[in-house]
Amino acid sequence: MEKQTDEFYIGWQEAAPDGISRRVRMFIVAVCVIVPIIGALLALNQRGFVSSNFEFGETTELEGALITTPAPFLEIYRGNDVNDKLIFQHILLVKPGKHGMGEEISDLEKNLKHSLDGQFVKLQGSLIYHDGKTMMEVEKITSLMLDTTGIHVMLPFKPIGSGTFVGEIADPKCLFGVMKPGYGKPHRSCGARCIAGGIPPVLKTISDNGNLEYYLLVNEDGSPLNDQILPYVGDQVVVCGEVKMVGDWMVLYKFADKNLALAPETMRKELPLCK
Amino acid sequence: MTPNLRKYHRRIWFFLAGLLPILLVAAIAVIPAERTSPSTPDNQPEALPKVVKTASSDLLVATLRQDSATGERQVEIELKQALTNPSTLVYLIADENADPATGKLLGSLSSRKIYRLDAGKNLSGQEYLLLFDPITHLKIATLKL
Amino acid sequence: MSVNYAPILWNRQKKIYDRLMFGFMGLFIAVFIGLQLIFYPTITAETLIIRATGTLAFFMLHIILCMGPLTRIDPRFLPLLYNRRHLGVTMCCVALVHGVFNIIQFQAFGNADPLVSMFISNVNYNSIGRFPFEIFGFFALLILLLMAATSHDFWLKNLSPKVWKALHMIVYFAYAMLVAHVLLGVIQLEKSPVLIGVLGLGILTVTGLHVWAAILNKKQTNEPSERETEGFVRVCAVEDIAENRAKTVLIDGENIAIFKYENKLSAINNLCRHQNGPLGEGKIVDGCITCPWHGYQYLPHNGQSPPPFTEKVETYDVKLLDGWVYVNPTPYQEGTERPPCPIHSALKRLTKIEKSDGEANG
Ligand code: HEM
Ligand code: FES
Repeated sequence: MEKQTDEFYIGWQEAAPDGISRRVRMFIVAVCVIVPIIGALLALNQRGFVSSNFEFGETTELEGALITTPAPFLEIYRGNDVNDKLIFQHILLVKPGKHGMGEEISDLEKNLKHSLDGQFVKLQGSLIYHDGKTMMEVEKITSLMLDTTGIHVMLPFKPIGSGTFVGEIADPKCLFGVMKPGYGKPHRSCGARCIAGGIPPVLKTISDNGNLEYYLLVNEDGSPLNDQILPYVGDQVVVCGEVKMVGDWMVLYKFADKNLALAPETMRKELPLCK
Repeated sequence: MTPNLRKYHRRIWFFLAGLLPILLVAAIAVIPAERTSPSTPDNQPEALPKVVKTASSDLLVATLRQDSATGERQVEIELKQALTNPSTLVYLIADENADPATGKLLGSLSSRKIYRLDAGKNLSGQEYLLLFDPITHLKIATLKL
Repeated sequence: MSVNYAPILWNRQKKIYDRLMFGFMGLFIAVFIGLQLIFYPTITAETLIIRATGTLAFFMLHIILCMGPLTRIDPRFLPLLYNRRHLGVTMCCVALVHGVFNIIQFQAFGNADPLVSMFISNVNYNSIGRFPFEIFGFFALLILLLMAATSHDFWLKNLSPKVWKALHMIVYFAYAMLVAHVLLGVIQLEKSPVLIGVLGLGILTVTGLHVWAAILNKKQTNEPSERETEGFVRVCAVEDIAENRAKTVLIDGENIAIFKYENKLSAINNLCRHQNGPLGEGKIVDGCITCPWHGYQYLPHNGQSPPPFTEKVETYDVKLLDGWVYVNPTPYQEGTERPPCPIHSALKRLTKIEKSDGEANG
């Protein structure tokens, strides 16, 4: 302390002595330089955000057939292809907030005393979409009506293969648009809340060539497995099951006798086989 | 500061100087690796053998294929980017500004991968490929085939 | 120095301080948000707010934590401490925005209470990588809020500076928790070596400065071991004390500052009654010992703040023998007047003794 000059700073005085204010100015200049550098480094080194969309506050009305299993979908007929095969789009239905649509549908079925599977409906809500997957946050069912088009839907779901799938468990509502990022560690507890609230879980996988695929995950019998999966939300897991196409969605029916497991850290091609 | 507080300061920071680097290393060690999935079932039909034409844009690469024996045509679409609209149908239309209603519906597109859509036999060879969104009524892309 | 509590006291230095603080915060936000919008335009507004406020608050905390040790390494940094409280409270407000947005975004609108949801949504408490990192942020925010809430001089007085300072030391645990919050949270997703590097550098700077200052401080502590008669302890040579400055000693836990001024020596307790600032590192200005931290003042001969102020510190007896300064570590009650030890008279007495010796011989 002896080496210092006799200068002394008193905050309530008008100005600081020269030597002291020079030192403090040095600090201020340093902060001046550090602030933009740190701000830029932090801003520019994120992995980026997907181009997903949530039309928050915008209402769209869509009509089609309601599908209740393996998850609530709105099935919209889009025409026939050159082979006269029917083309449908499937829109996964959820409620506002962190809630699935299943409960509302089963309550409605109880009141009406009949199944709503295949029932023609008009729905109002906000669309959520990303990478060709579309969902609707349903505000209300504006009408329940008889099928007047004569195209009664309910195609048999087409099996396209079974095997071992590795990927991250995510909630599709956030993944496909409501949040960015809607996956990974920071999103983990939100995803768990969504899935606990009845939104059907999705397995997000990456193929070797970098393409992403999304599988809606259900039990072998098509029932929801939301509760079993809660501890694994946001984790990378191994699932054994059979994939069926439900319109333009892939649905993974997890084999009942194969448990879900955390994906081993050093995993490449050699996987615990399902069969 | 009282000498005791100073002493606590010293102890706390010696402790943290040990703890924080350990925490840093431990956290780096547990960062999950992104794992690829061994199974990705492909539900697309086989590619027809002969390539007739190829066209591409920022969004996609389109290849017109043909089976010379039967004359069947097939449009192969490789999506290069994730689609950013709620619904995507693929049509063949006769001229660039034609309405999708006048065109031939081939199918729909979803996640980023390769699609093979049957295009039938009777093609003029002058068709345009149209990606159309029936929800927003938006022409997403038009491509001369 | 307060007779009554004003909501906040303003003066020119504080205004400069605050203006710089808000300027830098604006600069950070502008750079961060600007670059985000240019390079990642698809980001949502919520994420933008969450990330901008989270990183800004954490960055501010680093700056705040560096200030203390910097002033101990070089006292010319002392002005940084003068208004650090405003910096702390502002940082807490920014962190609060981050916390509230996060709780709304990630925990609300579900089938559980948002605060409960934070604790039950992710129950991997037994794992490092899967640990619910939000909990760390939550408890750190509670600490910051507690500190901000008690930051006013009213609380300082009512809790006593010692308790208040101890309370404020838990900010170090908040810091450690926030390091964990970031490492086990966003870093697990973002993974970028640059982000990890920046955080590592931050940790290194904060811990490095603290450890350096602590070692320096221990070296500088003057703890004399020899004990003289009549309870007096030898401290230093009188020339070792600069005019209007002090020497600090620690004797049996008694922290004493001995000031030299106008050819006199006075000893008072080293702890400022405001926030326990080190009076011994202060200076005598206009006849008053002035605290280096926030400028509280005390009269050297009685340890009392000049009227109308009422702060008082303990006083001690000092004496000079053969050019050595001695102090008696038994304190007098706060504010007790003790006659300063005159330097010239002691020297005179020495010559007198020599003289009388000569007379006896003669
Ligand atoms: C209730 C309290 C808190 C909660 C629930 C919370 C939650 C979160 C969440 C979920 C993230 C990841 C967000 C993302 O994906 O970007 C995050 C990141 C972060 N948090 Fe907190 N946090 C809290 C308090 C704090 C406090 C007090 C600070 C610091 C002063 C802080 C600093 C950060 C930083 C620097 C990041 C990384 C940047 C970012 O991703 O936003 N957090 N926090
Ligand atoms: S500690 Fe604040 S003036 Fe002394």
